[in-house]
Amino acid sequence: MSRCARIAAAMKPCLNKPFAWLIMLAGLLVLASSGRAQIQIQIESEGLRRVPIAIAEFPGEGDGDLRLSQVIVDDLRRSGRFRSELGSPDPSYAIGGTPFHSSALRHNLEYVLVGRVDAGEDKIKISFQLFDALTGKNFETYSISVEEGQQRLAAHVVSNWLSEQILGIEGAFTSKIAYVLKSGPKSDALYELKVADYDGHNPQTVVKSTEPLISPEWSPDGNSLYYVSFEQQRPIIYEFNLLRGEPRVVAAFSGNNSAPAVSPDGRWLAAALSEAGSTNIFLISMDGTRRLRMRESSAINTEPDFAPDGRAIAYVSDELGSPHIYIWNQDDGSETRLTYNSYNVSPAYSPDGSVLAYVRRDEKGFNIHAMETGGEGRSIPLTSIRRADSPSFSPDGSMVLFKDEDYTNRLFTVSVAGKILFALPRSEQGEIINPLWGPIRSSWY
Amino acid sequence: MKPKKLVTVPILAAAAAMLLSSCAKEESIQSGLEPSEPEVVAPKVVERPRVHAEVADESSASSLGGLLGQRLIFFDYDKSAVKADDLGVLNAHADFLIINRGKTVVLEGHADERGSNEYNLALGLRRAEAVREIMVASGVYADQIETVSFGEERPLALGSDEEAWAENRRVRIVYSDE
Repeated sequence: MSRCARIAAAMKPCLNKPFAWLIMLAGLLVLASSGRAQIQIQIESEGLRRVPIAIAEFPGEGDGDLRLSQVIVDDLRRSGRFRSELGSPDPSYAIGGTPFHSSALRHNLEYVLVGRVDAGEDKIKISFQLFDALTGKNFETYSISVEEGQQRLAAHVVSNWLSEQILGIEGAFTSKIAYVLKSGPKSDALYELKVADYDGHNPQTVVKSTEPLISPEWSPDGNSLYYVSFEQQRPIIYEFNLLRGEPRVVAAFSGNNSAPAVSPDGRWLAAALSEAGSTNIFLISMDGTRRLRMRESSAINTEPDFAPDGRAIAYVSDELGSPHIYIWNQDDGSETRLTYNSYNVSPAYSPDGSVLAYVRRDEKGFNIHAMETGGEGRSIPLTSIRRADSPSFSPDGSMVLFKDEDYTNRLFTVSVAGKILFALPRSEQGEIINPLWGPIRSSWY
Repeated sequence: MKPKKLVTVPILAAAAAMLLSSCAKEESIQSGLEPSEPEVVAPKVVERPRVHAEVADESSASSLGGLLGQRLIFFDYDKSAVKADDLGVLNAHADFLIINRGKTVVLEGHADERGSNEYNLALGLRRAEAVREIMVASGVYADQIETVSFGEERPLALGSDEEAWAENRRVRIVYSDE
């Protein structure tokens, strides 16, 4: 609680919205986790089984973006872990009611969520109750009170709670994404580094520039964004602290300074530097006092991404002609080659380190593929489009966010399990560049 | 001075037209770069680059036209090797820099939009470095040349087809005094 109060105070310089509701949400999350042991459904084979759940329409909810039942249906469906549908199987499902589960079971539903939205004087109260049709268990009724404009966040909190209760997996539906939006005429473009809800709603501009901005990278605590700016007429890496609200230069060596990646412990910045004319990956200490070359090569070496345990770095090298993905093992400095044919770029670790999402040029075009980092190193395509770009994992590992260069004003997610592809609602005018999913939570959000 | 040899490759013609249009934007059109050259084919989609002020003097490379008027070197997909056809242009710039020791150039490397922004940033730099190496081998002093890459971030041509991509895979030679 005190943490949230402190955060709310600290956030004021960056954000113009009141954050008192965070305290209430935190209270709800505590409440939710206390009931966690009551139900433990183990998914037999993650990736195949989707939990069937109906989300009844919430009396009192709004239309369009404020149709909270639909927000929850979409959240769950995008994750690939639920088969969610809108609408109640039977009128007997209501808050505090005694439902007839036979109707749900007849529809092959295991869970039914009901809810209600009540507009109070200055707060909006969202109440909800979950029913387990298989066991006949009725969960307690919970409620969240938010201010006007925060209803979608409340719905995402309910989705997180459902993920936690039903799967035992912490949901990532309240996490944030960052991206660059390029807008305006091409000869006079505006570049904005933005932060938005994971589904693209509520975008907020963090940095504006008339020169290109690319390659946003979240700090592990979610409180800073690193990015590459061409404001000095060459690529330089900056950090923007979201709590303090100011940019600072972190790498401005001669040549290119690009592809920032932060180690999980926050002590090192990996970046592609080209001081000697060829692009190589360096480890730069955050205090700026040390700079170590990861490997010696006259080829292009770029796009570093730290493994979640911090002991390996995936990167791209075109040492053998075209770009391929390698892993550099910090334990002994050895390198493992992961890809062999075609053109492979932009590796991004899953939160557990077991999978890399990356862009591979295949027979269809540029597509997002997922490859195991250990074992047989199997690789499967997650998309089947022409021009996919910039993959990054959701912090719960269920989804990959990416860009389709044929639809540049939209964001896309695809679930790792079942490849459920979602085009997020169009909320921006312009071209989205380098979307990146942030950590599950931060002091900032 | 008239161009000694006119460009034969359409994309170079497009590039020349681009240079002409950027000059025409300024009031001081150099006589060596007549906008009415009949051989120059107007490209379908050519975006004017950010125009640097064309302050010309007698020894400015932009006043010389000919091979020195050609400022764009184009590359194949995912390649950074300079094509043999472009060596004449690079040698002309090298000669000019050698006899104008006080002049400096920035070689701007660019890539087309396909693939990752970061790999393309590195690729653009490698293209600029490939041009630098040729110039240095021709006798230009290393301190006369700077390289920079804009990757895929500053395309010359709009569009997502082979024609546009070919125009965007380039190194632009920019004289610091222009």
